[in-house]
Amino acid sequence: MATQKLFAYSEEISVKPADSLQVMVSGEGTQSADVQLVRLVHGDAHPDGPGFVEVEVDHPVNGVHSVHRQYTQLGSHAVVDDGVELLEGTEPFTVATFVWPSLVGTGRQVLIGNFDLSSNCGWALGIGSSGHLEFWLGDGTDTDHVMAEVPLMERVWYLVVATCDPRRRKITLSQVAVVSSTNSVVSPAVPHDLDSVVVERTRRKVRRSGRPLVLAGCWDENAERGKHVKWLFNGKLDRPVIVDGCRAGEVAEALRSGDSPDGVIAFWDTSAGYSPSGASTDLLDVGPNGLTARSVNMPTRGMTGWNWDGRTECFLTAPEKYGGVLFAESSMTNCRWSPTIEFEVPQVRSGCYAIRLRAGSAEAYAPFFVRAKSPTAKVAFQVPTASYLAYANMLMAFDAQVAQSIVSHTPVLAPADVELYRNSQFGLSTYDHHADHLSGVCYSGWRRPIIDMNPKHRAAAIDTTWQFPADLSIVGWLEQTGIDYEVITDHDVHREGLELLKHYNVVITGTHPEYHSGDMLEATEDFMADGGRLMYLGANGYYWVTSFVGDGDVIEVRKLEGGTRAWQARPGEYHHMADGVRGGVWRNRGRGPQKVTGVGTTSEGMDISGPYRRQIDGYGAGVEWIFDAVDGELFGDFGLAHGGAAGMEIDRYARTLGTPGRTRLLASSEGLADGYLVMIEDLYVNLPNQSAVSNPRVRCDMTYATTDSGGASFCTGSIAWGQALPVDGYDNDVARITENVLRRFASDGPLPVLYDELDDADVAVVRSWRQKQDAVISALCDRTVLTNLEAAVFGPHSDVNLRILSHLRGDESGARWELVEEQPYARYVLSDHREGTTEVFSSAELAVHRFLLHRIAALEGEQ
Amino acid sequence: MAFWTRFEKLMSKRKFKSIRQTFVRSRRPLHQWRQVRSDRHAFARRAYVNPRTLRREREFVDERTFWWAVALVLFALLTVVVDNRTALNVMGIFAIYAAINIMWALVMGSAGVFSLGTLAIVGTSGFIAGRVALETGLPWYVMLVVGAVTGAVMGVVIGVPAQRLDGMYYALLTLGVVEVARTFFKQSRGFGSASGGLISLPTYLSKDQMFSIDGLRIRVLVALVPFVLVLVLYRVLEGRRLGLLLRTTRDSEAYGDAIGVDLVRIRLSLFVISSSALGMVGGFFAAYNRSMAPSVFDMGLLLLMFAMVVVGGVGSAEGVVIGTALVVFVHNGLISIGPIRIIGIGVVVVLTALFTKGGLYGIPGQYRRWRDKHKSERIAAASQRQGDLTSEEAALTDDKDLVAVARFNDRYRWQLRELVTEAVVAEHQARPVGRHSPELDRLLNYFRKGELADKYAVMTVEPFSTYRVVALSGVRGIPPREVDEKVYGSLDDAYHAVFLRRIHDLMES
Repeated sequence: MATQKLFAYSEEISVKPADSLQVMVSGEGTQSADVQLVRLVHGDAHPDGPGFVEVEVDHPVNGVHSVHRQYTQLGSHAVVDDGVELLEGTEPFTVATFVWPSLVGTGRQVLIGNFDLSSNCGWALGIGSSGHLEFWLGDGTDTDHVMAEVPLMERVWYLVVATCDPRRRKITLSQVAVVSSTNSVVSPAVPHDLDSVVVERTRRKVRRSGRPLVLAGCWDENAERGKHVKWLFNGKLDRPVIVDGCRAGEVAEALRSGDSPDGVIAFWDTSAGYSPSGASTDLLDVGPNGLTARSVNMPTRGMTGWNWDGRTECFLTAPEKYGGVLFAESSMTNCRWSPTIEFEVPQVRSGCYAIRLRAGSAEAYAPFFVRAKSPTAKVAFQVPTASYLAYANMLMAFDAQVAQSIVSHTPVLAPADVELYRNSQFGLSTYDHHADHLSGVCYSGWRRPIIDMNPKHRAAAIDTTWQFPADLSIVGWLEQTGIDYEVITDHDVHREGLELLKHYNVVITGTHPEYHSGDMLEATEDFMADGGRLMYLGANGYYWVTSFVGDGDVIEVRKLEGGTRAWQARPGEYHHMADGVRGGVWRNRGRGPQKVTGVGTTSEGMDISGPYRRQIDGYGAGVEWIFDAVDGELFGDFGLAHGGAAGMEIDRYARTLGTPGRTRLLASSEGLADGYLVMIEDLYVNLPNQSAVSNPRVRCDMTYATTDSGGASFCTGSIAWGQALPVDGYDNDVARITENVLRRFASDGPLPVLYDELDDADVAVVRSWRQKQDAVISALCDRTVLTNLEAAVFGPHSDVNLRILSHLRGDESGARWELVEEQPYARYVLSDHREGTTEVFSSAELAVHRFLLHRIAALEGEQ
Repeated sequence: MAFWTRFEKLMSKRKFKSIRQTFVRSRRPLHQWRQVRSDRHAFARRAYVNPRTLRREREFVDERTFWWAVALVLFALLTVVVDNRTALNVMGIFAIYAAINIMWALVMGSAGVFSLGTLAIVGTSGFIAGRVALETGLPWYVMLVVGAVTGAVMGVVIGVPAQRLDGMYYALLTLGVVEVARTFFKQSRGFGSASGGLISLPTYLSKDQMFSIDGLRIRVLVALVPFVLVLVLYRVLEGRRLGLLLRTTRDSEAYGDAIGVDLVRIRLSLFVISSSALGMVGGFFAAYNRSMAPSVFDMGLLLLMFAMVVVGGVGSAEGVVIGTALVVFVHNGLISIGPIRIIGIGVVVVLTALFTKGGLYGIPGQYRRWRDKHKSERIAAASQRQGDLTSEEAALTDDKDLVAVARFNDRYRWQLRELVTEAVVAEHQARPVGRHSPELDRLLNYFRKGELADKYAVMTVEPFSTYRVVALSGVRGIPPREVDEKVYGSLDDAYHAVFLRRIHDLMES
C-alpha cells in the first residue's frame, strides 16, 4: 500500500463564527480523509510540559471526506490572457527585452513566448540548458531552434532581440550586453565580450499554439495535471516588447533610448504602474492593444532595471530606472487549490482552531483563528500571523551554511522537514533564497500548506517549537487560568487598527512578534497612549518593516542594512512593491520598539536558555505585586525551550534607544552562553568577545512601565518565556508572574503609577556584572597565560588571552595608569596616577606588558 | 634560429592563431547554414569567451572538412608534380582502395556487420558492368551505374543472411561468396576465362592519353571522383541520425527495440547503400584498369585490404585512409625491397592490434586519455599525501578564493588538531550545548560553519527518545542520507556522536 500524504490549508487566516470557510486538501495515496474540527490548546510534546492538547469540536463537517491530489503551479510568471491571435507569431515579428539572468545552465528557461510543450507549437525566446540564448519554434510535430554563440553571463544586463520571419523561415537572434558601472556584476572597466548575433534559416516554421503568451514560462499539459506553466525563468526582465515585422535594429535603438518602438503589438512597460501607494502586480501593456500581463506567484517589481545608475534607490523617484521585474522558479505564494471542504464556522468561543485530517499514517492540520463575533473579553491575544508567514516553510536548517553557526546547534530533523525539503513545492519563507541562491524570498503567502503551522511542529535548526506551536504554550496557559480572552491576528490589527484594540484592556503578544506593518505599530502605539496595557511575552518583536499585499494573504519584506538578516536586498531594491515603504528594520526608521515597550532586540542565541535574576528595580514599591508568591532572587531556570525562561532571542532595556525613563528593569537573564552574540545593529565595527559570556549588554531584561493615561507595558524580553509557562502543569514562577500581571492589567482599576524618573538601570546592572566578571577573568590568569602574554604582547593571542584582554579593554579602571611614548622605540613611561609612581621602559612591548600585569593584579586586588 | 624556436615565437605572438581562427571573424554576425534536409549545421561554428582575454573567439566545430579539402588539394597537386609512373600508379590504387575501405569500414564499424564480401561485391559489379559495356558498347560511366545497381542487388543477397547469422559464421559465409565469385568468373567463358578476365573495357582516357604520363595523371585525378563521392556518402550516413542510431544500438537489438528503432531494417539499408557504392567503385575500377581480372577475388588482396582497415582504425574515414595510404605505400610503392615488406605489414598489423584501441588514427586520442589519466592520478596521489591543493588543482580552479580558503583550512586544521584532547571530548560529552571552554568553542565554531554537503545532522526517529545521525546533501530537493545504523536514546548522545564523527573527520583529513 502506498504511503499516504496529506497537505492542507485554510483559505482565510482569521474568521468569525457563522463565516464560511474553505479548506483545501491534497491527498496522495488515499481517496479519503477523516476530517475533524479541533480547538488547539497546546502544541509542544516536550516531556516537561502537558504534551500535545487539542479538543475535538462537534460540527457537521466532521467525518470522512474524499480527497484527491492537487497540483501546485510553482514559479513567478505573467500570462497575457488576451490577444492570443495577435501574438501567435505566424507573421513576421520582432521580440525584444532587457534581461538579467540570475541562474543559467541548469535547465531550459523561457523569457517570453507562447510555446506549448504538449503540442510542439508556438514560439519562445529563452535560455537553453547550456545557458545560451535561444529562439524556439514548433511546427506541431518537431521543434527548431536558433542559438546564440556564447552563453549568457549571470547577473549581467543584456538587450536581447529576435526577429522571426516565418515566410523566409529566417530568424535573427542577438544579445548585446548593456553593462554600466552599477547595473551588472561586471564593470565596463574590465571589458567582457558578451555579445552575439546569429542569423539562420530554420527548417520549420511556427505553427500557432493557440495559447496565451507567457512571460517567464511556457505551456505544458497532461491528463493528470492539466494545463500548467513550465521552463520557468530565473532573473529579471525589463520592458519586453513585441513588434510587427522584422526590425531588430530599430527596436533595439528605441529601447535603449527609452522610446516606444514603432509597430508595437504589445509593449509591457515594466516601469509603468508605480504609485506612492505601491506598484501594480500586473504588468501593463502601453501598446495599442492593452494586453496586460497577469502576474502569477508574485513576480517582484520595484527591482532595478537595466538603466539603474545608483543615483536613486526608490521606484517612486525614478520609475524609469525601475523596469526590473524579478521572476523565480521557486516563487510560490498561493497554491490556488480547489476547495475540498467548505463549512460554517460554529458558534465557538474565540481561539486557535484547525481542521485536522487523517488518512492512514498521514495527518495534516489546516489551522485558522476564530475571533469573537463582537469583542466582550478584557484580554486579547494578538496572534502574530505576519511573523508566522515570514517563517513559513523555512528551509534554512538544510540550505544555509551558516545556520549551525547562528544557532549553535546541530539540526534535529523530523520526517516532515525532510519531506518538505525533498519536495519543496509549497513555497519558501522570507528566510530563504530562491533557486538562484542570489535573490532573497521577499513574499510569503498564507494559502499554501505550511509545515511550521502544524501545531506539533518543532523547528529543525534548534529543536524547539517556534512561532505558532510555541505560541500555543501561551494559549495553553491562558486556557487554564480561566481568564476570559479572545484571539485577534496581526492581519485584523493591520486592517482595523485601534478600532479593534480599543475593546480590550490588555493585549498579549506571541513569543516572537517580529514582523509589523506601520499600521500595526500605529495601532499598538495608539492603544497604549489611550491607556491600553501591553504584555509583550516575547523578544525580537516589532523588528522588520512588513507590508501586506492585496487582501493580506501575502506579506512582503525586504531585508537590508543593519538588521540580523537571512539575505540582503540588492542595492536600490529596498522599497516594498506593496505600499512603497522602505524595507528594513523599524529601528532604522526611527521607530525602535524600546520607545513603546521598553525593550528591544539585543541578541539571539539558541544554545541554552537561562534563568532571570531579580534586579534592584524588581524590589521597589509599586512592583512587588508582580512577584507575588515568587520566592528567591533567581527564577525561571526551566522551560521547554532549552531549559530556561530567558533565552532563544532576547531583548534588553536601552535608554539610549528610547526606553522610557520610568521603566523598571525588574530582572535580567543570567548564565547565557557563547551562542548569544550582540546584534549587528549594535555594532558598527566588529569586535572580539561579544557574546553573553563577555558582554554585559547581551542579556534579556524583564521590564515594567506605566503611563499617566493608565497604560502599561510588561515585557519579558525572551522568546523562551512562553515555553516556560507550561512546566509543572502551569504551576511555576514564570506562570505566576505572568498571571499576576495579566489579572492586574485586565482589571479596570488603575495600576500603581510609577511617577519617578529613574537613573539608567542599565548602569547598575552592568556595574554588578563587571564586578562578577573581574573575578571570572582573574581566575583565568594563571602562570601559563601570563607567560604567553609576555611572549606575545601584541598578539596573536590564545583564546584565553583574548578573552582577558577584551575584558580589560572594556573596563574603565585602566584610566588609573598612563603610558607615554617619550621617544619612539627607546623610552616609554608608565605612570600610576593613584600611587604616584612611574616606571621607564626601553620598548613598547615591555611597557604594555607591565601595564597589563598591573591591571590583572588590580582585578584580583579589587575583589 | 632553429625552425621550431622561430615557430614557437611566432605562435606566442598570437599573430598566427590556430588555423580555425584564421578563417573566422567573430565580430561579424554569424550566419549559420543548415545541411540539406537536416537540422545540423554545415560548417558549424561555435564560439567561446577566452578566459584570458575575455574576448569571444569562434571556431569550427568540426575541422575535418577543412583538412580533407587541404589533403585533396595536396593530392591533386602531387599528381601534377610527380613525374614517376610507379608513384602515380600507387596513388591511383590508393584512391580506389581507400574508397573501397571507407565503405567497408562503414559496414563493419557502423552497421556492425562483419562482412568479408566487400571485394566480391566490387569484383562482381566490375565484371557485370564490364560485360554490359562490352555487350552494349555504352560509354565508361555507364559502368558506374551498372556497377551500383549490381552492388545493390549483391547487398540485398549478402545482407539478408547477415541478419540471421552471427559474427564468425557470417564472415565465413561472405568468404564463401568471394570464393564462389572467384571460381565463377575465372571459369565463365562469358567473363573471359580464356583471356584471364575482361579486357578492352571502355575508359575515360583517349587513345593518345593512354600511354602518356599526362594520361596517367588524368587517370589518377579522376580516381579521386569515386573517392570523394564515397567520402561524402560516409559522412552523410555516419553523421546523420542513421549513423547515430546505429552507433548507439550497435551491440544490442533489444535496446534498439526498446527505443523504437527497427535496427534490422536500418542495418540492412545501410548495408545495401554501401554495397551499391562498392558496386559503383567496382564499375569505376573496371574503367580505371580497362579490364577486370579474377585476381580481384584473391585471398591475398582481401587480407591486404583488411590490414589497411585494421592499421588505420575502423572507426573513422580518416583512419581508414591513413591505413590504406601506409599499406599501399609499403606494398605497392616499396616493391623493390622484396617480400620482406609483407612481413613488415604483418608486424604493423599485430602491433596496432596489440597496443592501440582505434588503429593509428586513434593514437593521439589514446595518448591524451593516457596523459589525462596519469595527470588525475598524480593529482589525486599528491592531494592525498599533502591534504592540500596541488598547483595543478589550484591552476584549474576558476575562483581563486576557493584555493585560498582550502589552503587556509588546511593550515587551520593542523592548529585545530592540537586542540583535540581527551579533556575537550569529555567536556563535550558532559555538556554538548552551552558554555564551553575556549578550545571546545573554537572546534565547534569550525565544525558549525562547514560546508553543507555531507554536513552532519540529527534525525528524529521517535521524538524525545530515539535519534540517528544523518548527513545533509547540500542540494535542495535531495534528502539527507543515513551515515550508520546506530540509534541514540537522547539528544545529547546524538549531539556527541556527531561531535565524535567530526573530530574523527578532522583527525583523518
